[in-house]
Amino acid sequence: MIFAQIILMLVFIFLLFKTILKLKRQELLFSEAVGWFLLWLFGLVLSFKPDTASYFAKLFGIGRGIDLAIYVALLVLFYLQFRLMIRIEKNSRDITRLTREKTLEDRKL
Amino acid sequence: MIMVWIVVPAYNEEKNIAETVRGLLALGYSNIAVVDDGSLDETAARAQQAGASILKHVLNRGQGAALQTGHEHVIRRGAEVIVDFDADGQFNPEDIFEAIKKLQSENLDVVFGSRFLGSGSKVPFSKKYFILPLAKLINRFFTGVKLTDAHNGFRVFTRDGLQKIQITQDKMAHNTEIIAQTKKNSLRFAEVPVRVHYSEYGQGWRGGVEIIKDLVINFFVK
Repeated sequence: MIFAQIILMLVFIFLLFKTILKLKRQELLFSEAVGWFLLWLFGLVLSFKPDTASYFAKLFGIGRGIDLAIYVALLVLFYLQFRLMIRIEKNSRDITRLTREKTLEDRKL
Repeated sequence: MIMVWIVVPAYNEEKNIAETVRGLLALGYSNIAVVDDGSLDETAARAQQAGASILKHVLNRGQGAALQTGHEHVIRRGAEVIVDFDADGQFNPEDIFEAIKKLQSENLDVVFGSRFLGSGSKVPFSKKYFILPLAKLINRFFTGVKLTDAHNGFRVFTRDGLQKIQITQDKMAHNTEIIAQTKKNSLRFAEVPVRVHYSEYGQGWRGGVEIIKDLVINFFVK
């Protein structure tokens, strides 16, 4: 096992613990925690046995393990970007509500 | 005598707002609420000097947000008929009378202004033949309502009708949202011809793309 593998495994183990901790603190919904847990577990398995990636890649009809990893990473990034846009929109609407309340309150004075 | 309130959302309109307010006052519309949407210029002061009531957003939140603030204010003030009117001087205050007449005589809840009924508006070529037909199609896709115009800021509501419409789209997608809520709440509506005098181009392609993005995101925001 090479040094880089050990580092990667430690990182994924840390992320797994972090996910469990966030679930316990109720900072994540159960469904979200399961999603993140599976993702980090997949990363841990891949860093322990890199050949597994090729096995999964063949399952999905993709040539190389590294290609599968890139596709999965892209999908995750797109999803996160989408979630961020929704969060920004919600925050923006909250700011509008606050602005409106202040405006209407000021008008009453 | 019914109580008519005019809601005028305004952002950086110091050059036009006083004339717009005076035009409305000249026709006897004395209840004018100008919502200054966080302008960086003298919009609020000019509107107040001209004789309007001022509501001031401390931050710029967009035309939809300003309209909703204005609507809530005038409803609290007892408005019976509410008119949305642009600040940039492109609308003709004389069109308000016919719109209110239609609202009352046909027992409607909402009247939308249309640039394409009658022949009073000189719409720029690319807007008339490319942007607005596409905008009408998009509006129809999102709302299921077929109108002769799209994204025209001239509207007249009854008090009851307006109380069923809550604008959540802060920016320009509120135009589509209002039509969608009109249909959803089974409000009775019609269009009236309005004359729009173009002093500037207004929304172009980029604005349209932004509106579609806002409408799509809206599906996912609880």
